[in-house]
Amino acid sequence: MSNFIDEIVELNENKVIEMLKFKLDNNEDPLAIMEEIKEAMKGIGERFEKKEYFLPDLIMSGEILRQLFEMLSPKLKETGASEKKKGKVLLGTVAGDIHDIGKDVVKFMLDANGFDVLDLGVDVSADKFVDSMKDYKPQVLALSGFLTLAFDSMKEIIQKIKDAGLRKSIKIMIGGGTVDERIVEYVGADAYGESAVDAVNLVKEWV
Amino acid sequence: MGENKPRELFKERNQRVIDAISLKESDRVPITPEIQFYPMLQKGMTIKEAMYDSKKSAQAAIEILSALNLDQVPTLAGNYSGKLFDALQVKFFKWPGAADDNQRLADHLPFQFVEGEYMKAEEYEDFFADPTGFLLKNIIPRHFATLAGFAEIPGIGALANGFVGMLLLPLFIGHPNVQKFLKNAQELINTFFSLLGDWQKYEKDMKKLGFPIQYANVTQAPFDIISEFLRGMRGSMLDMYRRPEDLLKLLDLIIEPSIKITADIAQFFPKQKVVMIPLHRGAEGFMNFDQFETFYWPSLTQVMESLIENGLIPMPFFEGKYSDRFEYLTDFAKKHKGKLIYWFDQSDIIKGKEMFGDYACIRGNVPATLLITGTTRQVEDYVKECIEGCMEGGGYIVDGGLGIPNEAKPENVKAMCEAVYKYGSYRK
Repeated sequence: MSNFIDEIVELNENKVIEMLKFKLDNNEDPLAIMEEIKEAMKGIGERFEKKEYFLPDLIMSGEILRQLFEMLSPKLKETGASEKKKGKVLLGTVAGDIHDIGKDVVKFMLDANGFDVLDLGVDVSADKFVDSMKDYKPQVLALSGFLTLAFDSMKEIIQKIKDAGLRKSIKIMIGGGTVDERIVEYVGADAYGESAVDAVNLVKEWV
Repeated sequence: MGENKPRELFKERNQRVIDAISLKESDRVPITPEIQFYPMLQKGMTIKEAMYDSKKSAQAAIEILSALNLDQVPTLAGNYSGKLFDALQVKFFKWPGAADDNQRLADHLPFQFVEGEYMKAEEYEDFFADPTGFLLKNIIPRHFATLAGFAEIPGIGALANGFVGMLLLPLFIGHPNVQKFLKNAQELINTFFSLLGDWQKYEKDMKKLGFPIQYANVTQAPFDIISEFLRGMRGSMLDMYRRPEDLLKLLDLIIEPSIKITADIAQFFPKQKVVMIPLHRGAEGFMNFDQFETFYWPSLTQVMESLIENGLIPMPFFEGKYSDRFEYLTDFAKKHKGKLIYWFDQSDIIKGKEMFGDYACIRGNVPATLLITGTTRQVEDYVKECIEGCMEGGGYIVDGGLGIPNEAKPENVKAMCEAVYKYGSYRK
């Protein structure tokens, strides 16, 4: 059964589910299984970094992982263990924009790399970002936007963060379909990521 | 200005674009920007107003665009109408001013697509068994709530058998959803034809001023049709893993009807040869080469090929980045020299010129970010660089990567146009 990790990375859905069933039936340690799944998530992330995996593959792996977690979580709860995360990222698509494809990929990749991510969803207002920053206390804020109107939304959000006196305590990265390096200065962010891999690298650098 | 001036200008401008498509050097590189709501915003309208007042929108477009001295102007028919959306109760868009609370966005926001699994994975079989019936009864009501009554259309037994039909068709017509629709049908028709009138008037007014329209016909890549309007992005991409045969079969099934409807629509616009094909989910970052080669490119090229055979000029709009797919684009262009336009958003068009510039006309790609946040000097420099890199031998049309974005600075739009007149002349 040593190839459980490989089968997940290869996205062999049926095979993986079957293998997990077998493991659970044989009372394998759920924490050890969880470690294997995490290892597999890292592998999937690496394929994404190497540009072998794209959206269909991330969506498929999300679907496989969801099923694995559903099967595993009752057993995990019995152990009472909780995992330690590397750092906290607050994420959302900015006010006025309801696109979530890019944001969801970033969330997936940050998760896969062991970061704690709070996803505020789409069309998130400046006030909501500021309030969540106070409650959640992230080290990094990730603003996503697909439409060109997102530039002004990002600018306003970052301004409100400054007004609330929170700008110095946070690193801000931006990304999305139309965003490029010109927008970093325009909105007052720290960096822009062209892909979810850039996003992970920025967070690793900052946290 | 002489009486014939606009007419001459009209011909001259159109010819400039035709020459560019045919890969001939004319007097100057043409400029033909796309728009969404830029002119309306410049005239102080909100996007809600722009979507609900087609006459005022047309007036704004005429005033702002004609002052830019463009070679071709965009159609307004693509600019969507809140009234039409309301009349159909469109479910796959949200927009400012929508009558339905669930679909409504704030007045200053543009309409946006609502991602959804409009067709379930289990429904492939139903689709294949009876494509038209399935679309009418299952998909149309999910796309357009006004047409919910279509779900009640009787089955083939009643439709084929006149005796059964006599009894079941009145029941269908009498169904509350159908009755509700019939009560509002006239209003829907009136809304549509009034819009059509406004759009046609805009095109006539532009013609009087000497400005031709860029294109009147739009189609989509078969994969995008499935991914956007049927299975949703998530569904269509899971299908690549879970039911690739079904997905390929559905792609196949959509190719011919797509070609036919596009060719049929083209009959209404005998002088408009360009068919715009906005591409969405085949871009760099969306799928790998295998997936692109299997699920995206073959069906798209089949559509484009047939359009060319029908005397039309496909203009795929490569939104996002496609530089890493240039080999595919080159192969296709080589087979169809001088018969298509590749419009780019964020790809490397200078590299594109080297690879397929001898075969395909390139359009683009002044970045939206530059038009919104840059200086006039930066815009001028960028356009100059594009022209110098792409003008040789004809085959280049200037536009923004996303046309003129709604939030563009007017001085930058002007700078983009002026750079074309300044640097775009062919010295013969």
